[in-house]
Amino acid sequence: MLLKIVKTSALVALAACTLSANSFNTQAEKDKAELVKYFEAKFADPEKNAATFFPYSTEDELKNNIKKGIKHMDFGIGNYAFNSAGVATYEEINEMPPYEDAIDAGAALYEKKFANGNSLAICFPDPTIGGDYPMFDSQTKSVVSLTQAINDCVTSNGEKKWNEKKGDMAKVQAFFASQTKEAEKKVNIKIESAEAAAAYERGKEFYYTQRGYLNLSCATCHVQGAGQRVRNESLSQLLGHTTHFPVYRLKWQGLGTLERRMQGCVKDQGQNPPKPSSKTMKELLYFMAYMSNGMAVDGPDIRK
Amino acid sequence: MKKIYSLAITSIIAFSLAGCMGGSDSLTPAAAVKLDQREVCNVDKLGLETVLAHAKAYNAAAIKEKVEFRRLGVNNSALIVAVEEGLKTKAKTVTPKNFKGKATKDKFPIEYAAHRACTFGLSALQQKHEGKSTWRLAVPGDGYKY
Repeated sequence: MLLKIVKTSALVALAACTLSANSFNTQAEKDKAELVKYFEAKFADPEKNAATFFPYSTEDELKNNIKKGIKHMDFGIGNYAFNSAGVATYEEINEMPPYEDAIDAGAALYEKKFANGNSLAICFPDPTIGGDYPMFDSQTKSVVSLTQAINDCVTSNGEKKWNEKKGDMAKVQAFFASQTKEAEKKVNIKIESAEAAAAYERGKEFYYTQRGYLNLSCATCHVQGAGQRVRNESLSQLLGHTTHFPVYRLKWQGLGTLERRMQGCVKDQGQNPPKPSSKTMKELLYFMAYMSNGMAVDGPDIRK
Repeated sequence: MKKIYSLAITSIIAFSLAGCMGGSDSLTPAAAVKLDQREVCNVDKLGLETVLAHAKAYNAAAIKEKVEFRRLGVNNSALIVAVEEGLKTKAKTVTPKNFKGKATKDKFPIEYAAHRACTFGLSALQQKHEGKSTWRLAVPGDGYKY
């Protein structure tokens, strides 16, 4: 009898713990579901729903350049999910991907021994981690980005901190992304505590807050503005934004990290951007990556 | 004793004035929305030195709030430095440095640069305050309806 009571109590306690852990991502799950619903509605039939979603686009553009009937997972490839004209150029460049050398260089850096004999391979025995970052560290109660985790490994082994935006950092991340893609893994961001949920909320607030002298939020272009055209470029959508980094950007003529791209976005809004490993930046990436949860990791990739 | 009284009164007046004119380093976004840019950044009315002092105070608070403006690669603090240097050399135009510390090709009249530095500093704070109550309006499933 006593054994039965103990067993039942243990089961109840375990169930309560599981429920409690799951409940921390309730709001994030709701946000993601609403975002998917919004983008699916927006791209269900752009021509038909032009007045609601594409008031400034021409009939020709809506008819010939924006695909319709796009579903959740299709958004994982960024604006190429809907941008018919862009896909042709994208595929042409991808015949000889300019990031392939970077993947090889990243693989070599992964194995390369530091002066003390250790290596990144010791810090990260499993290189298929492209979809697991940013993650919330329950010890430090803060978000850890992949960039920070790599630099933590590098500096804790007595090496000089790497540039957080390009160079070796981007090459190693390209290697991680390609390994993750090959393993067919998906973005898998977790919110398992009240502190993690609070960090997610701060990242969300940053994303949706208007800033800079242009008074734009990230959402102005990449939620409400997604699919619309700025000069000759189609604005990409938040859903799937983090799946393909690092990217080889034609504008950069090189490979760059997600932090580099996000700094560029904030700068374009007219504000001095947060530092790549600042709390603000990491929490912003945490929110953005959560919105892409469940999507296939698709990096590295090319962008204009 | 008289000296102590006069020092105390002078200090109180100085602190009050700084608070009223928004010249305090600790200006909060909530306090910033009460200020009128056309008044506190008016170079014709207040003079270059006063507007520059306001710009410095507002921008210091904006940096503290992590919302400093940057336009065409020039941080607002660099614009302020350019105006300060212009005042020292009595220059009519200023050329601010970009965020990498390199000289830009832009040349502004000093009055215009001081006015812009002041409005940019204040706008950043006012925007921060307003953003607290408006950001949810852009969230699908929350304040954003379609």
